[in-house]
Amino acid sequence: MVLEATMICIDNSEWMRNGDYSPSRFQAQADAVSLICGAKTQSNPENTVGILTMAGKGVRVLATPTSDLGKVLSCMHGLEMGGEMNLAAGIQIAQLALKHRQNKNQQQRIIVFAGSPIKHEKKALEMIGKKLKKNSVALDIVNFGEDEDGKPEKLEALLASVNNNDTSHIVHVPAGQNALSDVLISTPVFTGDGEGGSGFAAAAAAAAAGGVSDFDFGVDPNIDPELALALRVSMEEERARQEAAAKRAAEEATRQEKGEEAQPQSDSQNATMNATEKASDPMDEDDALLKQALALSMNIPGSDSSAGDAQMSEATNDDQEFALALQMSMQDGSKDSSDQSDVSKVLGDQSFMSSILSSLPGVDPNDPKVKDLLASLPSQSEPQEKKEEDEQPKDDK
Amino acid sequence: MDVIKTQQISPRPIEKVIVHPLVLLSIVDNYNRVAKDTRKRVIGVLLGTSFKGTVDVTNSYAVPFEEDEKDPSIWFLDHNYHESMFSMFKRINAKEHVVGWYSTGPKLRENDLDIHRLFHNYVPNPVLVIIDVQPKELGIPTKAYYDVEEVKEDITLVVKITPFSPANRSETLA
Repeated sequence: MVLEATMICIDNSEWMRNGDYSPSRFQAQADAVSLICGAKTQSNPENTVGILTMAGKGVRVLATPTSDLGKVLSCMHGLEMGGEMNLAAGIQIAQLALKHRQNKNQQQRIIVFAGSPIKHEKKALEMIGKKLKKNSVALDIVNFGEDEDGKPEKLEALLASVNNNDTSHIVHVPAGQNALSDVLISTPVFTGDGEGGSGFAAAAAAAAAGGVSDFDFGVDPNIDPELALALRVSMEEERARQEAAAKRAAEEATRQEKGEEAQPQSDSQNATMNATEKASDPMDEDDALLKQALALSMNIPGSDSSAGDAQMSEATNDDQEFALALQMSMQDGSKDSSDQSDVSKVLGDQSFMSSILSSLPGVDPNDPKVKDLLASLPSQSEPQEKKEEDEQPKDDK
Repeated sequence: MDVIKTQQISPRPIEKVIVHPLVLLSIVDNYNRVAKDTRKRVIGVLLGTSFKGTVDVTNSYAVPFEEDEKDPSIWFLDHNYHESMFSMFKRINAKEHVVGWYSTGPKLRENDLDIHRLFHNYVPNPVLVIIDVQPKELGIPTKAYYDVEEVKEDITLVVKITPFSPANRSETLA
């Protein structure tokens, strides 16, 4: 939760009319900006954010660094595109604006959205970078939009001359299905602030995935991150329990061939697996949930223990065979391993599933996590629906 | 802001600018405290009233202003500060409006036209007053300017800042 004053430099040049980021580059940029403003003010209430536009008639400061989020967001309305971006002037004027911040204890940071071609020379950019470094201003560059020759090199050179102890970052966002803001959430632009920033990002992702979680756990990421984590984990366990209960009917038929296992063995395993689950990264939990839901329905080894927990308590009352089958699947070890026979069984469906996934907005089939899921994918239609259900709320965010 | 616009629907060309002593004192005092031995200049807003072509400047305040010494096109004026400050001034004297801005100069600079354009957002025909904070000779330490748009022979629009001159004034009076 670094105390920071941030100036965001927006590119509102003619190049932003392009639609290769949905719905248009400018709109994607605006969404990303509002997200960043929210993240900054959330991570520390004393943070201030300001905005300026770099193109048009000239560099224009829309809002000087202020902690009033409403004012900043309202500045973004009614912005017009046109002209060419003046990167050098934009950064220099942002630096001047930061010089006049009210709280001199705030760290200075500039976030630049570079969407159009850069007409400045590398040397000029490096000079600016050195001046920023001298005044201890950190710089984050979001390279998106136009992809001309030499643009990444110029930006990298600028970053190298500004960078001091790795406080400055650059993010290259290629055009594609992913929204600009979604890509940015996982980058150091958001999480570079440390715990506070990542808490917001993780909470936002969890909210998107669950669609239910309240921020009113009591201002969790700011005050008590461990409590927030524990609350989030228990909520997800509850959700998983309910999901598993709903799927039990369809799974019973497929579990007939499983053998017998002793019950007490798996209890101790449950304890250890619970511990490992609690320690896992919040960002992985969404995928873990997904995997666990799919694994449960398709009898694949490595299913998560918390769902197994729920299964266990209900199974002992109702279905002995089901309980035994579950224990056996949990005993089979690491999360990512998959049974040889299962893989061969599922290979036929992989191409079908990847085509389904690529049509889903926000899902990148080349993502390694998605690839793992594909590898362990069922052929049933019901788990597919569950998976799409889980991913739709993620996208709605 | 809306009040100003209804009063000056047809911006009457300004003929006379009267600067009251409080303005001169506060500008010089501020300059001496802040930028006395530096090459920086102080910029601020002028408040007052405008009536039948005469502008009465009755109050002023400085605004945070920063410019790059080497590159005149790089400058920053905190307009949020100005808007907050003006709304507070309005509470104690609703008759005072923004009539223009001042600079301690001592001369006109290249970005003055851009800054002047910024003040067009607040008043239809702003006045620029250069206050000479270190006068060498006796006389009125102020020079007032306003901007004109001219269309040149090759159909280009040129905006330039021209001074009020005593010659002009006497002509209009006659």
